[in-house]
Amino acid sequence: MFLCQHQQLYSFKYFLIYAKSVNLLLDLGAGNTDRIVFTLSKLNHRITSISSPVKSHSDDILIIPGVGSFECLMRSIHALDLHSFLHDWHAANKKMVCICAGFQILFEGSEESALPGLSILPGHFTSLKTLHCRKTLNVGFNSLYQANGNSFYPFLSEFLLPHRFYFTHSFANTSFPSATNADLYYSSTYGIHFLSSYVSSNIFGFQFHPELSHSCGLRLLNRILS
Amino acid sequence: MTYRIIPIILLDGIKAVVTHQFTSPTYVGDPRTLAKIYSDQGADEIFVLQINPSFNISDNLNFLASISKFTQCCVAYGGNLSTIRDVSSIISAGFEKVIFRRLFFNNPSLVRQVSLIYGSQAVTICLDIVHLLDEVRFGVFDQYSEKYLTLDQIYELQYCDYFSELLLNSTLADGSFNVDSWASSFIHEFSKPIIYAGGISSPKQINHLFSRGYDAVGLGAEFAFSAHNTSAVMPSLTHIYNKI
Repeated sequence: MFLCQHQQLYSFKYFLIYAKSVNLLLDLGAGNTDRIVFTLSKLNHRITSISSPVKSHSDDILIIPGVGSFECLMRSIHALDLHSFLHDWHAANKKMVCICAGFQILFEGSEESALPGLSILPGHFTSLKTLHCRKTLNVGFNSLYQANGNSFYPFLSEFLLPHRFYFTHSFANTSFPSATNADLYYSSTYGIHFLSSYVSSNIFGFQFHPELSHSCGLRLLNRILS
Repeated sequence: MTYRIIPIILLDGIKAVVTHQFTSPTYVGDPRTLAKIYSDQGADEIFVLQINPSFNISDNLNFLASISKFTQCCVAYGGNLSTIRDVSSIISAGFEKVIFRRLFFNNPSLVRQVSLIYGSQAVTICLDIVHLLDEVRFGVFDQYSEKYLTLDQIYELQYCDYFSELLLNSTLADGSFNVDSWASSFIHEFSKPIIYAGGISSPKQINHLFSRGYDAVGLGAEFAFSAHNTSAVMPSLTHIYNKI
């Protein structure tokens, strides 16, 4: 590259920008990936879709979107050879934002699927029908309550607790594993208490859809990605 | 229990329209503007329903994507979905749910396939409520098909795992500013959320429908244009939320 001094300055400036963390959106064939791209671009966050293992920076953030069945997402993860990539990502303590079905696959399994989940977190998802909920779909805006634990990110509670977020799911995790000092569990109610959010040093897991929760959801995503 | 109020945007091609009993479509504006207004007013979800049978989804994906693009809530699409590719395109265009009507009867295996890929929470089934003499029927009634279910068959639908919500759409009440007076005990007992749409024009009617067991209501023409104000989209959703 033969750049004049002025261009070099510009290149250096852009290098600094590009050297910042990159948001990687995991495209598993299902999922509302375009919605996430629209939403994050509104918030001026750069995002790159990936559907295969990639080299990444330690500050990069991986987003696993929702809208998909547990089994379909797990099949895609195996077919795209992403199983080890996701485990390595977690082992390296890199941040992950996991939404709805993208959150559920972090756990050991679901009644929805014959395939096991990633088993990064303990617990299973059970259908609302099996849990004898009045309706087999929990849909609409709902509040969160802090279940246990201490957050690695103290700001989160002030974003999560006063607001209502949009849920749409037929499977729920009603077990709340004992939290470590860095883990934080939030619950919501739908006749039952279920896990609505899990936060650790590197995982931001949401059963609800922040991208569909109006301005409070956008503020939450913006704060996490900033 | 979370009740939802869902604005419905009827599309005739790329135009937003209002209808009377799903006939005589009248242009009311740009659906992208309507969707943005509804979203900004705090809509729980937005339903976009295409009524023009010649509308081609793949030729209009950019237009459809531009409807969901400016919203910050769940947007569902129904109309002219006939292949899994159509559904994939719609989800890729930024919609979170699809609504099946005729296809539920004509191609249930495709509905099942969509559910297996995107999850049953992404699938809503729409049934027309039609009054024939003294009898109320549920199903699909238009110039292309006439298929209906008995009340017992509808009751059985709650055990079907391939969809999560039922939208009951009153043809008689559409555009009439009056809700369908029909009522049935199965609404209370049905294990999937039921949405009522057709003729709703006041918060009082919405409260009445919720008290009858509906989980959500779909607001169409009457929501954007009251009988007394047909000049512009009025900021009524906020008003309605305050009254519920």
